[in-house]
Amino acid sequence: MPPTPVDDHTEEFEQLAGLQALGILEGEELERFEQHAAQCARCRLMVQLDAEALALAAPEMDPSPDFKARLMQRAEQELRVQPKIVPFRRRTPWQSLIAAVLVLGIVGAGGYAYENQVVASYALSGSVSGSAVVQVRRSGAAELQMSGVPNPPSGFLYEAWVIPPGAAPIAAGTTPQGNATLSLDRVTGGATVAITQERTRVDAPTSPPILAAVVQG
Amino acid sequence: MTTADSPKLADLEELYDAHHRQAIGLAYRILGDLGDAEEVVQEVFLSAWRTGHQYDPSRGSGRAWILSMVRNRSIDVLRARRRRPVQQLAEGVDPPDSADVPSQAASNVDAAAARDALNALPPEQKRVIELAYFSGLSHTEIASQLETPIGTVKGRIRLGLDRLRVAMGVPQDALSAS
Repeated sequence: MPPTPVDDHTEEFEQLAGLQALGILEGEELERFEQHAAQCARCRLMVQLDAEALALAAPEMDPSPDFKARLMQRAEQELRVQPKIVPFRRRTPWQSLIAAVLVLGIVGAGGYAYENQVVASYALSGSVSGSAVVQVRRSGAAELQMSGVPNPPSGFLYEAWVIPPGAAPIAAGTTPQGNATLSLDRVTGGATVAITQERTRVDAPTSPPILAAVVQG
Repeated sequence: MTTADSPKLADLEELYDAHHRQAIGLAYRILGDLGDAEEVVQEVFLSAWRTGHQYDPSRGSGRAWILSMVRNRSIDVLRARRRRPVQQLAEGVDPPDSADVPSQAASNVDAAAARDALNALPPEQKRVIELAYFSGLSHTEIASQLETPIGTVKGRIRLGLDRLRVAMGVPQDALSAS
């Protein structure tokens, strides 16, 4: 079935779709287009088709002879990574109590600071601008910090996912803004942290990730 | 790509075989350096492989998604070279595919036709479109680089995009065929 334009669809929006595909839409025009496109399948398709046509205008090219081998080797290495469970919240209450007593009684506030030290950061990469970083603390707690990521179009939100190796994505929180911090649990070594754009909170992603990174063990 | 429960090397190989020449070509066209282009493309393929297998391919064109990531990541690298803030990339956002977007139309976009269409543009229109898409410049930056009024730049871009669409038959064919 052909995509049906929404009521306010005009030729101007089709021009804006082209500018969006070029990556030069900004300010009020960008905001207006995104609000319209969130409801207009025709405009979203035009952005996709224009962007694809522009990308394909670049001449095809062969990589270095060993490029594929290097790529596959790196993928094999990632598959060999064994998951390491690090979730703070998965500890039993008894273990947590002991940990708390140790921290409070022996180390005190200094221990708390020690546990909260960031021991690893992983930058997400993908199809949008801005910064999204997974920070893993010594305690095993992790959080996803998004900064400068464009807000999702009206009617959409961002949903974070933790995808353990070989397992289905686990919903890890939503935000309506591109600047946000989400606490993550169940982050294991080798897991992928990803962000998708959804119309509402869902239990399984319905669109490709816009940003993703693998958290190493 | 398949919809298996976990990433498999065969999935990556399938992805690579289908799109690597276009991905490398696009990254090289933007960056002008094969080493940098390969680095970008490697990260994009791995990222798509890690997560793409979780999604239904029928929801969108995998090629459009891959090339969108290659373009944006390449522009990131290009802008880092210029020592400009990455935050300015907000203008380069490509919306992800949605379930209600007919993706088969997108997969019909022909590479040779796209190149012919761009090369057939009047030089001044081709130039502004290339500066926007392959160099990641804004209207203002293009106007400054070409020492041309910004209104003229905007006009050339819109005319060029209109011609591209006509040459590609994008709105009529793709939308009506979906």
